[in-house]
Amino acid sequence: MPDVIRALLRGLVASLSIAVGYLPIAFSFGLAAVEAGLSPNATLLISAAVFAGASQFLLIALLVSGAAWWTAVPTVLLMNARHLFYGPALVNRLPARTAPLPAPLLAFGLTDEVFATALSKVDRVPAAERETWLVGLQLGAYSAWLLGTWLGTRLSGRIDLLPDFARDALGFVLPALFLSLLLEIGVARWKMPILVAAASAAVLLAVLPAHHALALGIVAGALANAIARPRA
Amino acid sequence: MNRSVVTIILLCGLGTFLLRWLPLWHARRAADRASTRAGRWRRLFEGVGPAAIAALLAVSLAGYFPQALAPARAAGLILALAAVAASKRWIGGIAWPTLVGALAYGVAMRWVAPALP
Repeated sequence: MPDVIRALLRGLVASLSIAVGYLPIAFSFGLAAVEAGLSPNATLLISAAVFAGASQFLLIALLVSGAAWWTAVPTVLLMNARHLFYGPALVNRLPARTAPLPAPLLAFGLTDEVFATALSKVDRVPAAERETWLVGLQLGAYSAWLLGTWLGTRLSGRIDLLPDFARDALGFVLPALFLSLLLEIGVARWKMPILVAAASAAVLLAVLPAHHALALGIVAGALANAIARPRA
Repeated sequence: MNRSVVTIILLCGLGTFLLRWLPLWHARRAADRASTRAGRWRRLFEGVGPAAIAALLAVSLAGYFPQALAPARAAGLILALAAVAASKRWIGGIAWPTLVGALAYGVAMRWVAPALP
């Protein structure tokens, strides 16, 4: 099997943990958008073009309320501003290649969960395969997001058919995924950025919307790592 | 589809893509010019990953805390988090601990929490 295909497949396999989390959330998004009055096509276009969980739910509210583009677009982008940090943080783990993949291909699907999963697993991927592996990881996550959205638009109004425990379980997928990722990267090794980021985000949540608390928590944790971690 | 709705969606998509692409593109060019960053900057970017996951966990759990103040709810939450940690230790990987933790939460909320005082 050619190296490129093998790396892509390994990335797709690695995306399964993200897909498990994305399907129910994207399903809820599709459901919420159609029930709010957006057409299934507009709903799918949002997932295909924006591909950024929480901000898509915000976009539903903005579109349904008739917000103008100069209100809606900056609001969504402000919510996604934390994605600014992800590319530079990942570049450190992608060794220079003579023929690197185009940066847009590596950047399009850098969501919170893709970034977190990439950070926890990329060091175990052979250096020469990392970029292709990252594309596979994003492709798997993107496909799950689109599939979940499509299912949500198709099954609108039938969520009550799920048993109660399954609905509770679906709601807890993301915290379970983030805890798994945290354990995967090693809590002891990164305790300073982890403690500072979690504590900052938790405290800031009392006074700020979640997306701002998240971004500031990330900055605080990264700064703590830069200041406190001894030089290698 | 209404044209203004499509325009807003596409602008949001383009903007989000640029937020992801431009810093990656810039960092890659900078890495080409100097293969090693100054230590503190390198550590800053290394810290983004763990910090992001920890902040995401804190924010995703925050929604459960008004419910978790009730002892039965708190027990369910602790049981689910412990299930993630235990399955991470015994099974490994990310997908299984995620699934086990989510199912443990569903089961705890449906059958365990109501049985507690």
